[in-house]
Amino acid sequence: MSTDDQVLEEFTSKEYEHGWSVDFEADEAPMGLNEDIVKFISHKKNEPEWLLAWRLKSFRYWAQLEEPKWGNVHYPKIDYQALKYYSAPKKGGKVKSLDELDPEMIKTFERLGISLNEQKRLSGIAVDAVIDSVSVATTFKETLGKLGIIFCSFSEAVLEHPELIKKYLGSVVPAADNYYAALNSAVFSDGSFCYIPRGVRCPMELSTYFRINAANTGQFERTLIVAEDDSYVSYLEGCTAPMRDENQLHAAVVEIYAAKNAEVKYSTVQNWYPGNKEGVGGIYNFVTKRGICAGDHAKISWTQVETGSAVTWKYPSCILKGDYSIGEFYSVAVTNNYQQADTGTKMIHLGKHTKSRIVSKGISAGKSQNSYRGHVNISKRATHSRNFSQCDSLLMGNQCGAHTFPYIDVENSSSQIEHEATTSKIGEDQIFYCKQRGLDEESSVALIVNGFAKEVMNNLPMEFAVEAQKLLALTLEGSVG
Amino acid sequence: MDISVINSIQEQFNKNEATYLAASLTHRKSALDFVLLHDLPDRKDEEYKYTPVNRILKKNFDFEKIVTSNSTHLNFKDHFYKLKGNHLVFLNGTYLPAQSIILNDICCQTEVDSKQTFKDVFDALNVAFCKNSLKIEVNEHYRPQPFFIYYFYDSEQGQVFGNPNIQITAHSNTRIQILEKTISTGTHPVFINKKVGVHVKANAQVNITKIQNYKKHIFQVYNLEVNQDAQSTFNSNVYSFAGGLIRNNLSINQLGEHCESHMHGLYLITGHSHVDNHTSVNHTQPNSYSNELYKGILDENARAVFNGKIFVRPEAQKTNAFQSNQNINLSDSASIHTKPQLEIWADDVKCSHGCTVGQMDEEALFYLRARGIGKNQAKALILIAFSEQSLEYIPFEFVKEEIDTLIRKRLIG
Repeated sequence: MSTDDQVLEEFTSKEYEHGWSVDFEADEAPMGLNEDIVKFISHKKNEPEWLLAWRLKSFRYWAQLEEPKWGNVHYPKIDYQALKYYSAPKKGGKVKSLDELDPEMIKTFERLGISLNEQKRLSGIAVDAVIDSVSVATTFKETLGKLGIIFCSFSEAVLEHPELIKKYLGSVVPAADNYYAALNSAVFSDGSFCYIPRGVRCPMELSTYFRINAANTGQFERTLIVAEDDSYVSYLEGCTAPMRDENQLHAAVVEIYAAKNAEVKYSTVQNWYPGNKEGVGGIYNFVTKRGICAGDHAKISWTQVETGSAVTWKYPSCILKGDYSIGEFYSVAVTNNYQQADTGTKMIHLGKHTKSRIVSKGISAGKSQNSYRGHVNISKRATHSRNFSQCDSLLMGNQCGAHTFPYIDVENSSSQIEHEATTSKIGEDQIFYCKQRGLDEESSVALIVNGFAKEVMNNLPMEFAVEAQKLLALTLEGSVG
Repeated sequence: MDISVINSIQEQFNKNEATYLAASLTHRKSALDFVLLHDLPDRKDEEYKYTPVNRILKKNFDFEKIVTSNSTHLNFKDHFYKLKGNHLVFLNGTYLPAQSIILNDICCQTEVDSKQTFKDVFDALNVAFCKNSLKIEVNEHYRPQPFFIYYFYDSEQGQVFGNPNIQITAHSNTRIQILEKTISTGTHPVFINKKVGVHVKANAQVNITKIQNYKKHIFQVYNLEVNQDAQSTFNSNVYSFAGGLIRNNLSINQLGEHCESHMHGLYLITGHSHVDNHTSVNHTQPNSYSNELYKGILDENARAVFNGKIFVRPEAQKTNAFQSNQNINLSDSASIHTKPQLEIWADDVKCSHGCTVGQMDEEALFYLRARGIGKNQAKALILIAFSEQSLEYIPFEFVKEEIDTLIRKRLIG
C-alpha cells in the first residue's frame, strides 16, 4: 500500500495540479460569435471554400437551435457572445522541426508530463499537442508515415488530405446532430486527424493532449479517426486547464469510423479544472463522441476516466451497423465538491449478431451529482444481438447524489439484454476489515475505490492506468472522514 | 398543440356543466383550465414518450361522439363474486350506490372537492369530468370485509368516456383489501380515465389487486396515488392481459419511517395491445423498504413500456429499494421499452435495479423435451413458471386461480 500512501501524501497540499497558466503571446479573435468570426477562423486556417461553406451552414443551423435542457445538470446560462472562439499562441503554428518550437511551450508540456522531444521519449507514444485553438506539435510523424499512417493536426489534414476530410468529416456526427455539435462544426479550430490504412496495426499509442491556457476562450476541437479494413489503433486523449474563477466552455466532437474488421480503442482521462471547493469556476465539458462500426466484425471501445470539469455532459456512443460488430463502453466518473456529471453511452444496434457491453462506475462525494444516462437500442433488423450493462454507484457522504437513467428499447425476439445497477456506500464492515489489517482509513478507502473501479482501469493502456489511478485518489482526497 | 381534441374536451365540459353541482363547479373549472393549458401528452413528453395518448385517442376516440346515457341492460349482480364482501358498482365511470352491496357503513358517494389536487393532465381531466366520487374510509382498529369493485362499461349506444374517482383512507391499524375488475359490453370505443387516491395511515395495510383484461376498443389511463404514513404497508398487484391501451401510473409517497411497499405486475399481451406501467416510489424518511417486480411476455404486435422510478431523498437513510423488470419477447413484431430509473441523494442505502429482455431458455426447453414433453407444452410450462412468481402476493385464493386460468388459457391456447 506504500504507493497509495505516497499518492495521498503527494497531493495532500494541492487541490488541482495543473491549475497554472503561462502567458503566451496570443493571436486572438475578438469576443463574440457571428458569421464574421466563423469566416475569420476559416481564413486564419487557410481553409478551402467548401469547408467554410460547411462551417457557415452549421453556424446558421446552430443559430436557430435552443440549448438542450434535458440533462440532469444545472448551471447558469452560457453567454455565447462573451467568449473568444479563437486563441493561438503567436509563436506556435507551423514549425518544421521541434527545434523551432517556442521553448516556453515545450516547457509547458513538460510541466504537464508530456515530452514533445522524440529522442528523449522512452515509451513510444506519438503526441499531438493542442493549446487553446491550435495544434502546436505532433511527434513521431515520420515513423508513422512509413507505415502509411496519417497522424497530424486537423488543420494540416484539411490542407494536405482534403479528400479524406471531405469524405469523413461529419459522417458520424453530422453538423445538425445536436446543439454543441453544431456549434463545434461552425467554430472548431483544430484537433487531431488520424488515418490507419488497410491492414496496418498501429505500432504505438497515438495521443492528443488538450490544454486550455487563455482566459475567456472556449475550446472547440475536432478529432477524426478513420480505421480502414483490418486495421488497429489505440488512441489516448488527455486534457487540463488552468484554475480560473469563470467557467470556460469545452465543446469537442470526436468521430470514429471503423471499417470491416477494424478495431479502434479510444481512451480518455479527462481532468479539466473542476472548480474550487465552493464550486466557483471550472470547465463546462459538453462533448459529442461517436463511433460507427461501418463494416462487419468491426470493434469500437470507449474507455473513460472522468475526474475533472465542473459540468460534464457526454455520451460516447457506438453505432453498430456492420454485422457481428462490437461496441464497448467502460467508464469511471468521479465527482466531488460541486461537480456535476451526466454521462453514459448509446449503443445503437443495427447489424445482426452485434454485441455491446457497458460498464459504468460512478463515484460521488462532497455535494456533487453524478448521473448515468444510457440508451440501448436493438432495432428490428439487429437479430441475435446481445447487450450487457452494469452501472454501479458509490456514494461517499450524505450530500451527494447518484442517479441512473437507462433507456432500453428492443424490437426483435432473438436478442438478449441485461441491465443491472446498484447503489451503495462503502460499508463500515469493509473499512473495519481493512483497518484490522493495519491500513488507515484513507488507504482503506483508496483500496476499496480502486477495487470498485478496477474493471474499467484494466481497460486503460498502461501509460494511462497509472495516471488514472493517481487521479482517482486525488479527486476523492478529503471526502471521507 | 392539437386544437381539435382540446376544443372538443371544452365542448363536452360545456355540455355537462349544467349537471354538475354548484359547489364543485369552480374546482372543476380550474381543473379544466389545467387540461387546456397542458394539453394531452404526446411523444415529446418524456413521461409519455412511448405512449402518445393524444395520438392514440385522436385515432380511436372522438370526444364529440360521447354518449352519456346511464341505462343498460347489464345485470350487475350476475357478475359479482359469490363471496361475502362489499360489492361496489360503477357504470361508465359513475358510482351507483343503489346497485352496490355495502356491508358496513364505510362507503359513500360524494362530490369532488378542492381537496382533490391534480399534478397531471389526466388527474385534472378526471376532476373536471367525474360524475361523482366514491369515498371509502375505514376507522381505526377495524378490519372490514374485502371490497370488490366492478367497473361496467356499456358502449352499445355510442362512445363512452368514463371517469371513476375513488378516495380511500385507511386509518391506523386497519387492513383493506380491494379487487378491481372491468366488465364491458358494446363495440364503440371507451376511454377510461381512472383516478384513485389512497392514504394509508400509521400501521395500516392496503392491498389493491387489478385485473385488466379489456377488449381492444378500450383505452385506459389509470392514476393511482398512494400516501403512506409510518409503519404502513401498501401492496399493488396488477395483471394485464389485453386492451387497446393500458397505461398505469402508480405513484407511492412514503411519508413516514418503516414503510413497506410491494409492487407486482404481470403483462401477458398479444395482438396490438399496448401496456405501459409507470411506477414511482418516493422514499422521504429513513428505514423504509420497497420492492418491485414486473414481468412480461409479449407476442404478435404487442408493445410494452415499463418505467420504474425510485427516489431516495437525503433524509431517507437506511432505505432498501429493489426493482426488477423481466421480459420475454416471442415475436419480432413486438417491442419493449424499459427504463428502470434510480435517483438517490442519501448514502447509507441499498438500492438496486435490473432488467432483462430475452427469449425462452433453450436449455430448459431441451431439458423438458428430452423428458418426452411436446414442444408446445414445454414452452407453455416454462412461460407459466415465469409468470406465476407474480401471483404470490394476491390475498385472495380464488383470484389467484382466476388469473392462473387466464395465464394458462393464453399460453396453452
